[in-house]
Amino acid sequence: MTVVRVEVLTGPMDGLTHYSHEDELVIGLEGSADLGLDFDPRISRRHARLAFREGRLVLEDLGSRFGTWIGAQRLREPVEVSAGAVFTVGDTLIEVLGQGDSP
Amino acid sequence: MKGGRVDLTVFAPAARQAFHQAVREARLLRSGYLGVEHLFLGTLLAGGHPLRLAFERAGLDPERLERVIRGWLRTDPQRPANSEFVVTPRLERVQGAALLAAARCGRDHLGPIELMVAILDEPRAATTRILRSLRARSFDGLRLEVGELLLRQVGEDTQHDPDPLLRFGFDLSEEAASRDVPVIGRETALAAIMVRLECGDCPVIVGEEGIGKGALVRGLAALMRAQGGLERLRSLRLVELCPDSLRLGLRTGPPAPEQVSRLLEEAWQDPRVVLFLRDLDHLLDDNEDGIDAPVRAAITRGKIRCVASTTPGGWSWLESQEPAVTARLVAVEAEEPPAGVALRILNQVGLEQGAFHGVKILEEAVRAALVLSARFLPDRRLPGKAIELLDQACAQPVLAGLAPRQDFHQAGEVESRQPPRQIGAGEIAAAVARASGIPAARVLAGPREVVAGLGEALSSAIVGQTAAVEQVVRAVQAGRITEYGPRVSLLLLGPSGVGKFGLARELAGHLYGLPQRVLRLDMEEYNGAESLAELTGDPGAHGFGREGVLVARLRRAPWSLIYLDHAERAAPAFLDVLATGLEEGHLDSPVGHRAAMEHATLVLASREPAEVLQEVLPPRLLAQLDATACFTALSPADLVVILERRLGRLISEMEEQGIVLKLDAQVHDLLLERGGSTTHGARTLLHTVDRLFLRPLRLSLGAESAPRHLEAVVRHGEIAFLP
Repeated sequence: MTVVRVEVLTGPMDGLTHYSHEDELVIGLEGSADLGLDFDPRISRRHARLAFREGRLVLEDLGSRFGTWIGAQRLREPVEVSAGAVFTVGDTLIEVLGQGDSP
Repeated sequence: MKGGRVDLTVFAPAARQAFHQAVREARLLRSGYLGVEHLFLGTLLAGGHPLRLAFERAGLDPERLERVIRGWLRTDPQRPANSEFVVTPRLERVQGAALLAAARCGRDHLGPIELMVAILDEPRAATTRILRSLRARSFDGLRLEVGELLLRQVGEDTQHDPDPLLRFGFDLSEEAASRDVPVIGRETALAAIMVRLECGDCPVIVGEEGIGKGALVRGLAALMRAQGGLERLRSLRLVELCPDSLRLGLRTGPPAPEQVSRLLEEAWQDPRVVLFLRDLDHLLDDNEDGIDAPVRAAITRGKIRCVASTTPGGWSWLESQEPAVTARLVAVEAEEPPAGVALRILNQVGLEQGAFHGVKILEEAVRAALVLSARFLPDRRLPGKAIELLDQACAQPVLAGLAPRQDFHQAGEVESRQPPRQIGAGEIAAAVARASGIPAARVLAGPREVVAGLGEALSSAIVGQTAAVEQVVRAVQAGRITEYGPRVSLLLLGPSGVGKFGLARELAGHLYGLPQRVLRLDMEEYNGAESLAELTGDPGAHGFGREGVLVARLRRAPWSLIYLDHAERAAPAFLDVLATGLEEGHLDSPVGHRAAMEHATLVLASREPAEVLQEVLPPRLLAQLDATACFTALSPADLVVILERRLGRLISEMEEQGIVLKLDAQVHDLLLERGGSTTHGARTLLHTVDRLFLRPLRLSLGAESAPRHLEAVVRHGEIAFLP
């Protein structure tokens, strides 16, 4: 089964790893998303989604106010990502973990 | 919020100190959480001499690392002011790993070395990423060094070190022998200290933070060993003891005061040992651990050979609280080095920094660090503040990679593939911008460049006030231009809602690069007997002083525009203080703080006619004002322009969020019809835009499936937004 795994890299939740047993993982606020980052004031309710689409892992912004970024590039449409990719939601840096990565 | 947990019962005393130090760092840096990066700083300190030596052997200067990591934490966007203090999940993980490392060595308590091993083993920790990107090869070396320390600890009885002095301190003479420590421009101060030592006195170096008191003492160690010096001095051994390593170096065993007395006794018995007591005031102020008592006793009985250091504030505190101690010491004043000396010091430091960070520091960068730190960080001292700027500029590519919205992998790759980067004036300006909050472009602009273009900027921003704008522009152009930029004080008069505050904001944007650098104070709220204390500070009872709003702002952000609304209502006593401040270039608060006024722009605003102000404001204050600009009432034609601009701004704001907004012509008419009164200037109009346009717009955007294209039309006398 495919599992989406991420680790938070900055802020109060630094080191938090999260994996979803579904083939998608929504990042946003507690209650509305799989991974809640409520401490970050720039996170929207449903902010971004990582999902397997035809065997590829795709990162997508869900119309968030402050955007989802890869480096200095704001995401306008879904992009394919792989293990080791780092992206920003609000003010939080997140890394996509590979299948074999230890937390 | 769910956070990690730390179990202090498994921490050995030194590790506990590392933890407390980490908490202190987190609070000082206002992080709002406790993370691995804070624990790294605490552990580096608590690990004492052996751990620092391991870092140095790996080619990683611990002090420089501390500066880089602190600098990074300072720019962290996630610093919620009032959040609860949480421990990060990564820190909890590090604790578990450290405990495991201790268990492998047969211990059930973890010390600083185990903590450091666990921190370095955490691959995604910010500290690991910083260390790796700084010097990947050194990082692996460092892990080996620290791992070896851990092995060496096994079976070693940590309570009986062969040389107790080195458990608590750092041998400066040994350092001076092992590497070349140049003495730059401090010959006079050093000679004074040497003479004192030669006479058997205990000199105390008294100087502001950042002027290099520590470097002076390292220079002393080097000079002592230099050939051609006095034979007696050459045999001396200078050992640094600082309050933190004393406190943190204490491990299990006899009570702390006992260990310290024994240490001081041993140092006294060996005629070659001279102690360096850094931050003497902190050392004697510490009554929690009881280490102050033996130090005090040794000094007052004259049973110590030492050089000490403290700040002028610390020295006067010592004089009032510890007269018996200061009677035994001789103060040697150390000044901030003049620019020429500071430049020579910076050139030397720049070479070391370049080697450490693997970059080439251009001469222009060293000059820029000197000039710009003097200009934009006026409340700190040379050469310390310039050294910090250089370190920040060198580490920036690494740190930017760790910040959100940057890909650190990319930054790391660029780092390793390209030949050594160069650090020039632009990089230093960027570091100044981060430290002072002033945009980099403004930092690099000369005072004259700031004035140029002011007229155009103001007249395009302020509607219908040609005469007032012209007066302000001429006042700035004709006013004093210091090396920091133009300095003016203005009186703006006119009815409400005509653009007085708008002009002040634009002016701040032009002078300081950011329109937000305005402190607006309504003098109607500060006209009572208490107001002077509220604005400048209150010494308070029992020594618990309170800082005033104005002084606090000027001290933290000296580059600000101070806007005093309803100036005619201000308390006369405050206006007097203000006049003195403008005359002297600084405000003294009753708490004892001094705030620079020479970088600030003062704007007094009032709705009263000029005659009233002439009567109310003290003549001394009036004499300091560069211009009085009178704003006139707005005409209906002005309102049309203001409305168009406001709506234009809203449309482009929406565009930034990816929403296309179109307006029907009737919308303008409706807004002008409802809000077209000029009694309160443009205020009624702007409120109408807010009420009739902006709120319905937000409501239609708040819906779950918000459309990306909207058209504003008038329906039944209301504005509606159609997809």
